[in-house]
Amino acid sequence: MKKGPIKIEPFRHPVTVDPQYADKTWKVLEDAIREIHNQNASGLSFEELYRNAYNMVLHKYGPRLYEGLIRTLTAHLTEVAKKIEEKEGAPFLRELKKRWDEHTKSSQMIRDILMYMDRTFVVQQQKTPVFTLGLELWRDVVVRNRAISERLLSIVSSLIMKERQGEVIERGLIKSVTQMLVELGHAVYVEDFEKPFLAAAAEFYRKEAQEYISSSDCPEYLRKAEARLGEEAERCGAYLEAASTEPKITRVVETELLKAQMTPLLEMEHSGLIALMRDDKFDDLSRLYCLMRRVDNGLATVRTMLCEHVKEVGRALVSDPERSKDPVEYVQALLDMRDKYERIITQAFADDKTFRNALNQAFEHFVNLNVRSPEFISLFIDDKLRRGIKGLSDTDVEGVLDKVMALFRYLQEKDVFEKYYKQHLAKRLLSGRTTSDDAERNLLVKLKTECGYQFTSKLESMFTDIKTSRDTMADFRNRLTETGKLEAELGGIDLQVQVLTTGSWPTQAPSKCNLPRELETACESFRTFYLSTHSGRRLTFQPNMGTADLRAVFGGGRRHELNVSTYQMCVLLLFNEADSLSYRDIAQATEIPTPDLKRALQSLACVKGRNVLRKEPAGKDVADSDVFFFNDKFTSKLIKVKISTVAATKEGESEKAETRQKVEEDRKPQIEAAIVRIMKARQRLDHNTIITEVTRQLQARFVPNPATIKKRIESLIEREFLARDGNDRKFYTYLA
Amino acid sequence: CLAESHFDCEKAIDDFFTSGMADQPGSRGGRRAAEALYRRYKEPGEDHIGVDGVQKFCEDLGVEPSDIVMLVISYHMGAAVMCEYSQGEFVTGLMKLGAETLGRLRSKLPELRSSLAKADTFRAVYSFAYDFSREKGQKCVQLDSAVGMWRLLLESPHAGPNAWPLVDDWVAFLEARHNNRAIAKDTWLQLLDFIRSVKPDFSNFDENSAWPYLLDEFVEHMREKRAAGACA
Repeated sequence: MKKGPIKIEPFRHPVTVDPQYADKTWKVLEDAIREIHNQNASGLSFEELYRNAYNMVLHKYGPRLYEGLIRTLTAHLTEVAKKIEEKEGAPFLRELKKRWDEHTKSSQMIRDILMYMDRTFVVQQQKTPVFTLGLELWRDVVVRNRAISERLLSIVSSLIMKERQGEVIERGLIKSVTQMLVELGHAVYVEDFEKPFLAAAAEFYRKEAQEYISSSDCPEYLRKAEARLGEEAERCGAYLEAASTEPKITRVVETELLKAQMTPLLEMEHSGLIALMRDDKFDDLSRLYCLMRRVDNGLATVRTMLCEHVKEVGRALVSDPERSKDPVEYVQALLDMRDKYERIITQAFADDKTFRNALNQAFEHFVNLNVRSPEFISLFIDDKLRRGIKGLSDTDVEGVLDKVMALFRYLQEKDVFEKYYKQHLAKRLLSGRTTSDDAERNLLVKLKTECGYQFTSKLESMFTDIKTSRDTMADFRNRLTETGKLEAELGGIDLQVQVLTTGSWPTQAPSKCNLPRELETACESFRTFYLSTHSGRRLTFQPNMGTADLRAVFGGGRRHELNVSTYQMCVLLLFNEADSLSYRDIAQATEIPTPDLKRALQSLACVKGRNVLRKEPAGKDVADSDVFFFNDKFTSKLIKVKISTVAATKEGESEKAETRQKVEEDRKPQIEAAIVRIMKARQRLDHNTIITEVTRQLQARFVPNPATIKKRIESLIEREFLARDGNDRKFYTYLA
Repeated sequence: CLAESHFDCEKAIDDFFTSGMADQPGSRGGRRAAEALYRRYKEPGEDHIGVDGVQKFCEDLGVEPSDIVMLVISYHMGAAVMCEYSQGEFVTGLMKLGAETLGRLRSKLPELRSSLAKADTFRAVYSFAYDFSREKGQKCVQLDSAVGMWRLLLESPHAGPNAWPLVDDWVAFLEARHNNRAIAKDTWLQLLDFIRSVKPDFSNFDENSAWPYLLDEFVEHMREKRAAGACA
C-alpha cells in the first residue's frame, strides 16, 4: 500500500471581525495621543495601547493608523503654533522652547506606543518613522509657519545684535532654539537660521567697517577687527552650531572687515602699513600680518606695498646727492635701512621667506640705480678695514662683513666692485694700513665663496706679493750686511721695496720722477740684487705709490719726523739746498707729472698744521707762478707728523669715466669668450638665445647690455669666428 | 704701332662678325675676339687691364666709368679689384655675357641695366659690390667708398624696386655717428635685407631680431628725428 503525502488542514475557525473594529481602536488611540499631548499620560495603559496599535497593523489597518496619526499631530501642532504665535519677544522664545520640549517628549511616547508600526508597516511601506514624522511636522507646521519663523529670526538676530553692541543677553535661550533647529536636521539649521544670520552679520560688519575706517587709525582698526573675529568665534562656541557656522562667520567678518577695506586700510596716510614700518611698530605689524594672512591676496598686497615702499625709500637714498658725498655714510645708510626692514620681517612678519625675497628684490633694484654703489661699497669696506674695526671683537667684525656682503650680493656690476676693491686693497697693502690681516683674508674668503676662484685670484696674489716682498727685503739686507756694503749702498736709508706682479695689481701708468741721488743709489743696489736672484724679470719703480719718513729740523731746533709720499719727499729734499724755489724750479728738478706735483705741493703748503712749506702768494690752489719757501716757523704738538696727500678718496669725474671705460674694455673679452663658449657647444643658435645665455653666464659678475653683446657678435662675425646663417638671418653658426 | 694693331684688331673682329662665324658665343672665335679686345686695353708690360685701359674701355662703350652698368659688367667678370681686370676675368666674363665684341657689348648695355631691377640679380651685384670696393689687403670697406657704392646702387634709376628712399638719411646718420669707421661685410649684407623687409616708417622693425647694431641705432636715430620733426 502506498502512502500518500500527509495533508494537514489548517484549523479553520471563524474569525469574526467587528466591522467597527478599526474605528473603535483608532478612537482609543487617538484619545490617548490627545491625552499625551495634554501632558496627561499618567492614566494611560501603555500595554493596552501598544496592543491596540499592534492589532491595527496586524489587521492591515496600518495606513489608516498612519494617516490618523498625521492628522492628529497636524491638528495638535496647529493649535500649538497658534499659542506660540500669541507671544512676543523673549516670552515667545521661552514658549517655543517649552512647547518644543513637550513635543519631543510626547513624540517619544507616541513612538513607543506605535513601536510595532514603526518596525513593520513603516519599514515595508518606506514611510517616515513616527518620531521623525513628529519632528518633520513640527518643522513644517510650527517652525516654518510664516509668522513664527519670521518672528523667531528677528528676535534671535536682534538679540545677537544687542550682544555685538555689548549688551548681555540670555544666551541659553538662543542656544535652545538653535539646538532645536539642529535637531530638526542640519539643513533646517542652515536654511532657516544660518543663512539669514550670515547675511545679517555681513550687513552689520559692512556698516561697521565703514564706520571704523573713517573714525579709527589703522592699528586701532586692526585691533577691533581682531577682537570681532574672536567674539564671533566665541559666540559660535557658546550658542551656535560651531562646526558649521564658525568658519562661515569668520569668513564673513574677514571679508567685510579686512578684505573689503584692505586697500584704504593699508594705505591710511598716517597710520597705514608704510607708517607702521616707518615707526617700527612691530606689534601692530605683527597683527596686520596675522590678519592679512587670513584674506586672499592679503599678504601679496602687503608684500607688494613693502617692496614698492622700500624701492621708493631706497631710490630717494641712492639718488640723494648729499648722501653721495660721503660714501661711508651712504653705505651705512643702506645697511641701516636693510637692518630695519630685516628686523620688521623677522619680528613682525613671522620671518616670511617671500617677504625676504621681496625685500632683496627691492634692494637689488635700487642699489643698482646709482652707478657708484660698487665704488662706495668698496670704499666702505676700505674705511672699515683701515680703522672702523679697531677694537671690535671677531664676531662683530664678522657681522659687519656679512652685512656688507649682503649688499655686495645686490650689485649687478660685480666686476666694477672688483676693480675698485683692487685699487683700495692695493692702497691699503702698500701703505701698510690694514688693521687686521684676518679680517682682510676673511673678506677674501667670503668673496671667493660668493663669486668663485677667478674673482679673487688676483686679490690673493696681491697678498702673496706683499709677503714675498718682506722676505726679499730681509734677504737683501742680509746680503748687504754679509758683504759689508750696507752703509755704502744705502747710505743710512731704510729702503723698503715692495715687488708687485704686473697684472695682479691695478695698472698704473709708469710715472717718471727724478729721485734724489742718495735714493737713486739705493734703488740701483736693490735692482742689481733682485735681478741677480730673479733673472729674466723687469723691475720698474713706481714712485707714485711710495711713502717716506724724513727727519727735519725747524727753527729753534724743533725736530719733527715727517711721514710723506715719495713725491713729497723729492720736493722736500730740494729744500736742503735752497730756502726758496719757484714752482717751475721744482717741476724741472723733479720731473714729477704736473697733477701729482700740484697735489703734493698743495698738501705740503696749504694744509693747516701740516704746512712745512710756505707758498707765495698764499692760497688754496697751486699755480705755475707760485714760489715756495721752507717754513721755518712750522710747529706741531706731535713729533711725528703725517702729511697725507690731498687725495681724492672718491673719484673725480674724469677718473670715474676712465674707470668706467676700463671696465667696459675688460668686459669685451669676457663677453666674447662667453659667446664663443656657447656657440662652440651649440654650433647653431638664434640671436635671442645667445643674448639670454650670455647674460645668464655672466650675471655673476655683471649684467651685460644686449646692445654690447650684439656688437661683440658682429665683431666675431667680422673675425670669422661666427657666421650668419644663410637661410635665416636670425641664426648664427660657429666656424671652427 | 699700338694704335695700328688696335685698328687692325677691331677691323678683324668686325669682319669676323659680318661673316657670321661667331654666332655661337663661347666658341673658339668668341674667345679669340675677346682676347683681342683684352690686348687692346691691357696695360703695357703688365698682366691686366689697368685704370687707363678701363677708362678707354668705357669711352669705347660710350658710358661713364661711374655708370652703374660698369659695376654690373664687373660683376659678370667677377673682378676682384676696382679699376682692374685680369685676362681671365675679362675674357671669360665677356664670353659669359655672350658679348665678345664692343658692338655686341654695347647693344647688351640696356639689358644689363634693366637686369638690376630683378631682386636676385640686384642682390648678387650688391654683395659683389662690397668685395669689389675693398682696397687691397683690407677686410672692410672704408666708409666713403661704402657710401659711394650705396649711392650708386640704391639711388640708381635702374634699381627699380630695389631702390631705397632713405639713402640720404642713412648716409647722414653714418657721417654723424659712425666716426668714419669702416663698414663690416655683415652690416653691408644685412642692410639689403633690412631695406627689403622693414617698412620705411620702421613700424615693423623689431629690436630683438638680430639686426646689426648700426641699423638699430639708425632706426632709433630716425625715430627721434621724426618725432622731433613731428613736434616742430
